[in-house]
Amino acid sequence: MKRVLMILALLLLLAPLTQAQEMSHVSDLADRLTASERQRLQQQASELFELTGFDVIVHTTNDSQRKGPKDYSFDYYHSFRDAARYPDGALLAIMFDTRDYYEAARGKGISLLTYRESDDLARVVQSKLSDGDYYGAFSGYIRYVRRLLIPPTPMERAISLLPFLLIGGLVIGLVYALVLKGKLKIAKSRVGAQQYVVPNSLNLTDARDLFMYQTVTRRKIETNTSRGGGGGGFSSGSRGGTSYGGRGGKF
Amino acid sequence: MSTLTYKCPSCAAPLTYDGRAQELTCGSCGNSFDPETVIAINQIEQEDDRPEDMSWQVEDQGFTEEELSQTRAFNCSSCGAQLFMEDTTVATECAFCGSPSIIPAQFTEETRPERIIPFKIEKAQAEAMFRDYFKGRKLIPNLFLKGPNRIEEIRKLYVPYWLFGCQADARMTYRGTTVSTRRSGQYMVTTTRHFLIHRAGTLTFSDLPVDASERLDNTISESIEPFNTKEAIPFAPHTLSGAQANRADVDQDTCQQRANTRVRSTTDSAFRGTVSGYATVVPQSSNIQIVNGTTLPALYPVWLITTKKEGKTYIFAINGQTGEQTSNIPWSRAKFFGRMLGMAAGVAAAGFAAVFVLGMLGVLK
Repeated sequence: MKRVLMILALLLLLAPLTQAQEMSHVSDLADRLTASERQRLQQQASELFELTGFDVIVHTTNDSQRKGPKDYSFDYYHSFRDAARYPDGALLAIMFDTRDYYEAARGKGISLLTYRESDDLARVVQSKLSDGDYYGAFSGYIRYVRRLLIPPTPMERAISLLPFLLIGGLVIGLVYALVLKGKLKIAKSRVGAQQYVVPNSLNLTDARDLFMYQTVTRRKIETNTSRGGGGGGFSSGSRGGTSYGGRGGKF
Repeated sequence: MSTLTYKCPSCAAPLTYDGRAQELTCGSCGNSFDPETVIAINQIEQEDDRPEDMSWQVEDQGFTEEELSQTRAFNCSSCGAQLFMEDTTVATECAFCGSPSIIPAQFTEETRPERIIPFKIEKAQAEAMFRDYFKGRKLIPNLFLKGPNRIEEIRKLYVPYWLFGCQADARMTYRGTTVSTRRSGQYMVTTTRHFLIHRAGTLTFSDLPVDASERLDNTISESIEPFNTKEAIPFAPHTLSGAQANRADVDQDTCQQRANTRVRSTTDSAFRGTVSGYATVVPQSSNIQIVNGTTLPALYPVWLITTKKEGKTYIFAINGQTGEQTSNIPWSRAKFFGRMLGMAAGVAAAGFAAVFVLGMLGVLK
């Protein structure tokens, strides 16, 4: 009896972990990721969920059902994951039929992600999506959410700045060493004869600036129309009483 | 019958006159030009095509009989230096190599110094300067810091210089551009305007010294410049009292080349300084003629101190008038990089600690 009770207690303790492992964070309907990539993304998102309780889902599809990126993403997220059990999270969907990417967020995710500038999202995923690096885009997105959820410790921040501190230190060190070298009176040739110019003796007798010709070049201004929620815009909506916020763009 | 052909200022192809537009057009690059501008450019290029002349008049009068009688000459049989001094000065060793094997020579000095600057720095001061040189200079090699740096020799020497004075008559041409950018609909339009910039004028130089002593390294003699020529006095044998003088054994033509190099460099930068307001300026031509170029022999005071370390002789020179110092004592590369890396590590560590503490205090979010 004692042994059975112990096994039950162990199972209860492991239950949340088992649940987290079973929760799918990757929905690759468009089949753009390899099995290994799916596994790694799943692991990355699971770890984040275990640490923070924030649920990140990455999703690809070839059929957005003509709903538009916002409605498709909100609908898919609402149906994919029970909002009552997992109120805080975000879904990043890539719709290959319309070349849209869209982030649907709910609960804590709305304040954490939706109200940030959409350029922020574009910076994280857009270039990778355009390059066809879908795994890189998703992985970068999960890291991005993680950074927002778990601010770096003072030590992590200091370590992240170490390369810049070292470069700055080297520049200051070089200047310092050159100043020390300058204090040595090492013999060297003079370049000019500035000290022997009679003061105010420069006498200009001719100073002409003749316009000859001009060249004109025109460059088309690249307008990036692909940033759907661009300029800090965001959308919101609700599904079954759950509020969603969203932002996205084209790639 | 000759025909005048104008070249395109942009690509140098021949220009043809377009009667309807009343412009000169280039069939190669497609640019059109106002004929007056092309004529002006052509004129500038022809004017600047004059031969360059950087020659100087030499003032070399030679010693008088009386001066020769008051002057003694020596040759060093060890290093070959040719020295002269006032007849009352006793010379026991060569001012350059310290060798006692100096032998009297027939004084045939053909170059008589016109001016001389007397010593203002005394021997005791020069010795103190040498000792102080090694204090507080962090890149001096350890070799010079292990023990006292003994003065091997200290010599009071008048070094011969040629003093160059002239008016540099310069004609400079540059190509300059201005760039402006504006938006026109869906396009960004960049307009680059090309100019031919012409400057002509004069710049006057006075008493530019060039070392005429073969024994003294030019880098050393140039490093202790400048001398205050206002304190120069006319040369007479008695002004050499207590010191040795080196004969001007570098010929005046060789010295001229050095003077020309320095005059050209300063003239170029002085005229370049009159060109402003352009995004880019590229020199196209530079033509300098020396007008009223004069050269004058003079003697300038120098303390020469030698010290020996591990069998090698190092020179420490002091301007005998102003106290300006120089030497061929090397700098330690190991110390240079050590100091650089030490400072870099210190700055990085301090920055790291500051970021960490500010993070702990919640200042950095």
